[in-house]
Amino acid sequence: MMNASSKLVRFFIVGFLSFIVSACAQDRGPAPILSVAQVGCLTEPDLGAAKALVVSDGEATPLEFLVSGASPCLETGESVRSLFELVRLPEVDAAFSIRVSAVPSSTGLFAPQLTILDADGIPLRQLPEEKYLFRGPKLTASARINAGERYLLIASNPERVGDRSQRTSAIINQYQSGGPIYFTVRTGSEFTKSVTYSHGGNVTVTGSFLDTSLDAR
Amino acid sequence: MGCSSFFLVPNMQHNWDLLCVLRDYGGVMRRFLAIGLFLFLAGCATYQSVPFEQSTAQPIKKIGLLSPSIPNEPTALLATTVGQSFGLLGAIIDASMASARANSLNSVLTSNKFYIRQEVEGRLVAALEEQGYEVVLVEAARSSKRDFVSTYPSTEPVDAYLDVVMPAYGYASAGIGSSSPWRPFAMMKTRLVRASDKTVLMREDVAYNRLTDRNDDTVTISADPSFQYADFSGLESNSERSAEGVRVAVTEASNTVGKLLR
Repeated sequence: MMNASSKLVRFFIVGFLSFIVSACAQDRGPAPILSVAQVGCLTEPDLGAAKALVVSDGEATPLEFLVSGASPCLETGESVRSLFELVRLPEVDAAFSIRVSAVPSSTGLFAPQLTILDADGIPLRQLPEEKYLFRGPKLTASARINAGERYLLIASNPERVGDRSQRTSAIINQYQSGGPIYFTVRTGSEFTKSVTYSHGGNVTVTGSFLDTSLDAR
Repeated sequence: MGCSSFFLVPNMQHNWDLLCVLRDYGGVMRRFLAIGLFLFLAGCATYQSVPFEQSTAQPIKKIGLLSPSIPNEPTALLATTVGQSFGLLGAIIDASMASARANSLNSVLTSNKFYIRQEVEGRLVAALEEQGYEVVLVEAARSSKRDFVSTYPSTEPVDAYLDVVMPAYGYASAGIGSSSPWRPFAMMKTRLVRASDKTVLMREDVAYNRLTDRNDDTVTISADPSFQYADFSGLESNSERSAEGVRVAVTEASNTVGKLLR
């Protein structure tokens, strides 16, 4: 009886682990979107559809979303199309910065192009290409928000879509023995991850107030 | 594992500081400690970045580059070793091997006329000029090699000071074996301070080949795969190219500082 019960428990454990493994294997994140085929793209974003970056108690709540095939598209030139999302920026009267982070999936990475707009949706400035930098695995761009800057247009960059990015990282594994003799073994190895820049992907927008005094830095 | 468990000096705000403490205290032991802890140190930075934004009201045109804090010697960092599994005896052997590697790397660089201060200052000046700034070098008195200047000059005719601390540079490998080659690395902590009111205009850390790909504020640059060696002896026998690899690391880190000031 005990033996049968033990087998049953083992069966469920193995089944559960198999489920986890298969779930992880399938969770590869969004595949790269290499072209925008939608028709009827907008020529300017709809301000009413903007997602709000909310500040409460001195903290901005991170905004996470997926730019996907279902996102609106923008046509900025003949057949030059991007997928985009619009973010409404908080009205603040202190030094405030935002950061847009493109989070890689197993195969793709959103290629961002950021434009800051005024309250009427008029473009005020576009972040230069040099400002897009990796911080760990994420491709990021940061900017301070000035008076009158009310919206952030996060669009895919068609000129970069299809390019590849390759990054190498180290993994340190640590094994500890059990039993009467205790020892630890550490091994180091590397893995290289290659992703394709995409019209879509996971994006996080964060905001923070800046303390620019010398003591704080 | 929390990084705080590795703090040898209380209340450190930045984990790179620990590497610099080890550097300051000198001796063989510091190398051993630096090797074992490096990944955690480099990977656990906790600073909050301040992005630079050129102001139309008070534009920054002329930058005083304070003489950067740079370690006297390069680091040859093997993040995991066999010795780490064998207690004190392993530590002593590791320390001895690490010291020998660092000395050898130092010889590789100096024999190829690679002088780190000259390289860092030259590359940073070039990177800032590339972005349209006028740059002057300013001597800086530092109370600690591991930290920014505590009192900025007030007499220099500049709009802002760029303060750079380089915690470490050299070559690093994740472990033993051809699957974890030696590659050049360079790290820079940077702070731009307005000369008139000492407001922090930018605060960014940059790491070329940080090994780990941890999520934090540090700007990370992947190492150029054309400068890598399956083992340390390969690095030693290709000394000219090895020195060029460190030069590329310093140049890329400096150029990124320039980009952040665009």
